[in-house]
Amino acid sequence: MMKLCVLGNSHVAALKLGWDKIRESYPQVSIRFFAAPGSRLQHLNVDGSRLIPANKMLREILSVTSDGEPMIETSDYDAFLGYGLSFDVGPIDQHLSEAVFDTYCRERATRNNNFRLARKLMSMTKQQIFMGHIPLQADNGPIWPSPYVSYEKLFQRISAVLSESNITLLSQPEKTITSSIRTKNEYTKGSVRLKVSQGSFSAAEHADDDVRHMNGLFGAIYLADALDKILASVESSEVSVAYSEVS
Amino acid sequence: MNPYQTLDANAFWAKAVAAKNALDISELWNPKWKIQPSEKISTFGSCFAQHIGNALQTNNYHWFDGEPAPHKLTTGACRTFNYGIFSARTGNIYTTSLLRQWTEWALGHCQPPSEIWVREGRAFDPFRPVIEPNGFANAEELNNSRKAAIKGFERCIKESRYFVFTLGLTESWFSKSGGHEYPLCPGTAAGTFVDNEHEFHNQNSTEVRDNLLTAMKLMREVNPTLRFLLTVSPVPLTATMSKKHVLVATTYSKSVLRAVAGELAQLHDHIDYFPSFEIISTPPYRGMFYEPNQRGVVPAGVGHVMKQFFDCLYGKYPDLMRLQAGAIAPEITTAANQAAVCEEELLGAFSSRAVPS
Repeated sequence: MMKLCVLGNSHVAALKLGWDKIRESYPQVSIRFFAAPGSRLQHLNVDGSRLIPANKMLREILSVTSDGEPMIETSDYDAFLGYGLSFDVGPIDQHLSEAVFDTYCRERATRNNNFRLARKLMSMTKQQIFMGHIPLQADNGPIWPSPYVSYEKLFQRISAVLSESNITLLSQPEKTITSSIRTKNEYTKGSVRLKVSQGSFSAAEHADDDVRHMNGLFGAIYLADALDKILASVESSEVSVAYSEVS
Repeated sequence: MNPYQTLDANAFWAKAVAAKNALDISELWNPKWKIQPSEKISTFGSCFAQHIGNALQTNNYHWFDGEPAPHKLTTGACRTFNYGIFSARTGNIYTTSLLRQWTEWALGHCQPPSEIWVREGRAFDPFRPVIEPNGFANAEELNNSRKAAIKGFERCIKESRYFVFTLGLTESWFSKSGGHEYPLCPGTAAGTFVDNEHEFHNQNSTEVRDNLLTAMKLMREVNPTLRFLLTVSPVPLTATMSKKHVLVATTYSKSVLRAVAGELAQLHDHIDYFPSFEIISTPPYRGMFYEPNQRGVVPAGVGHVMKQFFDCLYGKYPDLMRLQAGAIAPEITTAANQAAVCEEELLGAFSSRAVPS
């Protein structure tokens, strides 16, 4: 059984709903979600092998989303997925030099709470750490903001920076993306956000004009794609370790 | 009875200057226009222009950025790559002839030359030699970047209400074969100096004036409402090719620039002059705003200049709202504390008996 720890922000709601749809197809996987809206997860403190919420509100939120666990014991998990990296490019309406683009990508990759959280995890565990970026904007939202910076190029560069820290960046599944580099509208209909109230974790519907948060169908596709990659990577790593021990 | 008897106190040295503490000398500028915080203001020119752009932003004026940095690029990275220094990534525009050259490129009157400087496999832009610390990967990247800067400059011309230009130098370097001007002598920041090809010229007042008028005319053809606020950089020359003592050469340059700026402001309704030069460099201020090298301007000096700017503007137009949200006193600001990006200072490194600055 591979135990996966998913940490993230409000976008985790879609993954949670997605997991509910596909868990039967992955009997070899168990997932626990630790999610909090916005940037609240930055208030996790390292304590030995555990990540401890620094305040009561975060503790309560995590207890709800994780189904009872107020803190994260890293030794309980085989892999970690941080979900919530911003991929906002902003209005770039001119060419960028490679030097500027490299600096830009390095800053986008490392100057965020997701990376800081990943670094905390790396200080506590040798298990693999994966990172997922938030969904591309929906098809009825603003277009990918720049004809000068493609998703592929941005992904490759940020991925390369993260891999320097042994973090694997996961791409959004191709089948969810339009030719204009947006998320297909069908995945934003009925999109949900993380709602924690009165001791329960629920998915509350977003406003109609929300072009960022996706639905459970998206979550299912994303998670299936992610799990295939994570499982392959974890198994490959285990084989390498076993081989090195034998030889 | 004579006309002097009806003049304001400010017209008399004894009352307006000698009788006052330097920091109390006031009402140095009578603004021609009521510059609204919402109106777009572009800033270009010599190093000192950067301080004006910073102060405008600090005081919640609409400093216009025609070539913004990528979204969320950090302040440090912006500075490294010269975003947000001037209203487009032109680098320093020291002379009025360079201003004319940029204007002609931006408005399509001529194309920039294809000249590129190469050093250790990297491509450097002769017209923006330090715009990126290690140059560009290749000619294509350089040309794309230059096009973006030209486009940004065009935007500034067409969209701004005010164009602030700080005149810096009269000494200039040209390509004999191409006729184009370089902001820095080839071979200093990058490139290779070629004796018969690269030509020095110290411009006279007629040339400075005519180039400035031509640039302004071209700009106003596409933006008839554009107004120009001229200033003269108080920063002395780092070095001179004029064969005169650098102090004498500096005085010549600044005198020419100051005379031209003043003359044009006097003759044209769409041109005004702001006396930052006087505040920093004239005797009443006793050089107090210069750094120990007697060249750089200390943050307090920048702050005092910009305080005068806004005091004079609000003094004449008291109904202009001083937007205090986020605004801090212009005397000492974080932005003003940053060293200005000054390409001309590179020349100091070539002195055989260089004195640390």
